[in-house]
Amino acid sequence: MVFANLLFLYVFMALCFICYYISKRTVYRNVVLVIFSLLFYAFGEPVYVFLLLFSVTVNFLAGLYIDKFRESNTGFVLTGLTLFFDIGVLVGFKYTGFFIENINAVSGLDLPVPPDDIMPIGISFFTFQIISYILDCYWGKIEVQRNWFKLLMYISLFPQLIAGPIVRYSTIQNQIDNRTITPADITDGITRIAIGLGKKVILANNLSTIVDSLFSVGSLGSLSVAGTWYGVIVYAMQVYFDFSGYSDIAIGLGRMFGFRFDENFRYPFVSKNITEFWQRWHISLGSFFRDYLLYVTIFGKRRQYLNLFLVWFCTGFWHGASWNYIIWGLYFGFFILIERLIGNKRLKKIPAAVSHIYSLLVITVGFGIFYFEDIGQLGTFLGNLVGANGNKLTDHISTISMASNCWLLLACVICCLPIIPWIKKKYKELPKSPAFIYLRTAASIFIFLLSSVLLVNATNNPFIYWHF
Amino acid sequence: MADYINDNELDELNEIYRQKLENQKHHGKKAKTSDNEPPKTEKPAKEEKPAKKEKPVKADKPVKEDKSPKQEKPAKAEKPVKEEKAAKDSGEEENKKKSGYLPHIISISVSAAVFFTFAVLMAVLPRPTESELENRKLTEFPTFSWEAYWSGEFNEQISEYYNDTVPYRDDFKRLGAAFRSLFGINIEGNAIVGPVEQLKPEESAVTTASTKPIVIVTPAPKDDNSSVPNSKPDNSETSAPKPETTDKNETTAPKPETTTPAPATTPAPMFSTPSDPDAEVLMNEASNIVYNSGGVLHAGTLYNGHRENAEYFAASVAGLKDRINADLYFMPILTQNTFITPSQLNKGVYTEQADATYLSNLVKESAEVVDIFDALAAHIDEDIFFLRDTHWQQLGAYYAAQQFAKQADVPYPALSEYTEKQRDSIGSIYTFTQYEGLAGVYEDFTYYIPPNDFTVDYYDSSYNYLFTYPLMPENDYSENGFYSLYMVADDYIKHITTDVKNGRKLVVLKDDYLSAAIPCLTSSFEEIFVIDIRHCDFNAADFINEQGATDVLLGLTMSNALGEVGSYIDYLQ
Repeated sequence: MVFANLLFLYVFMALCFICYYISKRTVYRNVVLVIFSLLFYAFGEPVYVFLLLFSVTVNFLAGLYIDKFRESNTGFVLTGLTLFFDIGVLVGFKYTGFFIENINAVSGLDLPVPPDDIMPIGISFFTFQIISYILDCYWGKIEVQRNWFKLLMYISLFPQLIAGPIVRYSTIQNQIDNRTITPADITDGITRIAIGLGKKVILANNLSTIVDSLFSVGSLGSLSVAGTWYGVIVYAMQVYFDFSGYSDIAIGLGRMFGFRFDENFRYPFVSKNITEFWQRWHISLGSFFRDYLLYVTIFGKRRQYLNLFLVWFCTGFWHGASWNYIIWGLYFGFFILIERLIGNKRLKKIPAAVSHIYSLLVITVGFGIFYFEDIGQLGTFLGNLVGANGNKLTDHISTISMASNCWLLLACVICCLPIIPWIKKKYKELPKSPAFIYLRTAASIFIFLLSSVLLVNATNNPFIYWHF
Repeated sequence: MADYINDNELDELNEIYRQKLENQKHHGKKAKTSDNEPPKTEKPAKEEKPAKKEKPVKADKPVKEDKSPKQEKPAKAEKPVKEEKAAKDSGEEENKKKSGYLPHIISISVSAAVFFTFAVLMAVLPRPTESELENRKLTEFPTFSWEAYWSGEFNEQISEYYNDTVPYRDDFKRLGAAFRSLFGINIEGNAIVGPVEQLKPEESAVTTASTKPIVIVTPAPKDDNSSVPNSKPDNSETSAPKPETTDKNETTAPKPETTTPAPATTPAPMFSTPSDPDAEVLMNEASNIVYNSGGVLHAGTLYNGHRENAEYFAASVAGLKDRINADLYFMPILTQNTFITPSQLNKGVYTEQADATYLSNLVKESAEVVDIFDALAAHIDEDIFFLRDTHWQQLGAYYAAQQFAKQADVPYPALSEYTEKQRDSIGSIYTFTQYEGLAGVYEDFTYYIPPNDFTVDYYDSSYNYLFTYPLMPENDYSENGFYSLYMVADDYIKHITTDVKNGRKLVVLKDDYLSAAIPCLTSSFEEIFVIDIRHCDFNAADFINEQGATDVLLGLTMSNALGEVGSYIDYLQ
């Protein structure tokens, strides 16, 4: 099940809220959350719910023993074995087809390739949550969870189960047993859910129609230079609104259940460099790799460039089992390496306008790499960007598309800018004023209902994250 | 209203109050035992204030009992000033907090009321079973089976059912469409609905969904015109219809003024027998149709040609013939509408084949007609057409081109000499309509790589060289735009130089259909120029002469030949 679905919004979520709020004690509320989380996961993947339960059980037991033998070599071995199991499950489901395809291509063999659709949804997210739990246990950063049910709740919590953010155990360990919900939490949660739904349904879904008309349906080779840039800029915004919309819904739901998840996006398109972009884009993934891969020792010590390479290789590969994702990750890693070599001080001296243009160019081209899984098409796309394919500067189709979506595009650009944080900063008392609260609620209700209308028999409601 | 607080808040306030009383007791005792001096007294009214304001606390019995005057009086009397102030501040803070929550509580109440009202209405209101807007039966509630459940299909179908059968769904769909229409400004009446390569700047795409029910039995043509010789009967048991003009060979026929002119006259309808009475129409939007025939999901674009333009087209072809020094061939292309679509679904006045026959009879004076009906009919059991796309498979194009090669007397390799390949494809009807039932419905796209060597140069519509690229760039393949496998896009003009040495130069004037036939002709001609007449900005007649072409193949579908595209022939001269 996905969030942008009327059945989820008006049946699942409604029942979950009723059951949650009529349960007064936290222990009962936890039971409600686990039941609904498993139902949520089982709705689309009834079989894989057993995989989830099995994985939680293995990691629960591993956590107990790692805690017990932490100081000895046994703890190290146990941690290694558990990680091997977790990563093995992820690789087994997500990357087997990719590896076999490449083996076939290199060796000329004809090994059977498993179909794409056998991958459990959200496996990358919950596996990374489990890995963070195990490593934090081993490093003694957290207190091991001695209650299987509570660990299951942490892993399976439906708001963040299929599309993140990757919530660390340390973030919510205290909230599992002790959490309070104030009326302000609930209104904040309602607003975040409405904003997230609006981003996904009103903005992202309609941007996807434009992208499809240019890249997927149309002939890429006949697109003009301007048309190709237009298409990839629209695609970048589509992914941003889609992904951050899901994160907003997750954070909003968490807030209404008394959890406080960390932010996952902070207006990434205003970044002045690529390093900053990755501090604003999919923050939970970036911080995961930073804490669990970038700063770990390899063969006895931290190896700056090897670690950096691994981080960006894995970042790309995590997004999908295809070469373009690996190229995408390394592409960003390359620019981050360059920025690191230049140094922060010198980067700050670059005029802001130049910095913004540089980062937007790199980010936008990066999304083109992200889009085209076929390397041949990717080459055509890159050639189109600079007119290397002999394509025209402009084309009629793109012009019409821009004109017929100009207000939508303008709204998207505005929504990419940190206008709300700016208003909050400038008028600090505003969020507390009753008039603002009422206005916010009215806007939330309007966005929620409009999104619902657009979801009726929606035919353009893509689910980007099945790769992830 | 101002005194209302929720249960959590009440618990918190009770707890704070209990602690306060405990402190008061403790301090009171402490003061009594440690200090014999009389306690400072404070004004009772001020001391009472915080407790009085916390009205909900009074509802809590144990707290009420604690707040007995007996216990309170001595404590208050003995309280130091600092503590009094702290208690007062604490109470005020609570009050502030409480009143600060009020807008939130009102907001939550309103949001919950709206949300649950909609949730309940969606649950209790009757769900529609048919959509007038989309003219189709809506998704039905699935029947349960363990197999469907474990595959996730059952739940998926429930979700589809719920989303598809929302009460008043057609009204909501209209509302959604109205909202989307606000996204931008409409220039030149254009809107993007189809593949890029099929759109032409001058063409207006029809986006409005038809709400009319489909015509189950449509008039079939009565093609019995004796003045048009050799009119072949069509496959709906009718003979060729009589042309409405008095002089069919008139070369100065007026140019059509609109793309959808009304028929000059309507012939007396003659109803054909439905060829597949059990065919179930699932969607009919504009001319695009999705139907179930024999358990197979089909999709296509219904034929609706304008025979009244036939004379004009024939005149244009005659004009072209007069201006070129090459043999001119005309191939009226027949689509699924002739071979596959159940006859009762056709909505044109004449069938496609009847119009092809009619037009062929008009054109044959100036061009050699390549009649492909028999060539295709002989292979009807093979996959010569897509099931859910308007084009033919390359196999269909192969048989059609074979007929042309035979008439042009050029070599033509056997199918076995080609390299056969297969990919997944999603038909263009899904792209046009976004009809949900076609989403993710793939079919095999089979194509054939020619056996000989050749190079292909690509030019723009003014014949300026652009680049050299493969004839069938497999790396650019996409499931949704699979037809661009044939020479990238229609708006390029292509010049193919082959390894054939027979002195024959072919110019192909086409719409998108003949694209698939070009790979089948690379072994037949020394050079081939491919011009999509919708994307040509120069005088094609002069071009043909300048290039020294020996043969010209004009191949158009009947919809195009008798529509606006057919009129381009005139512009090209």
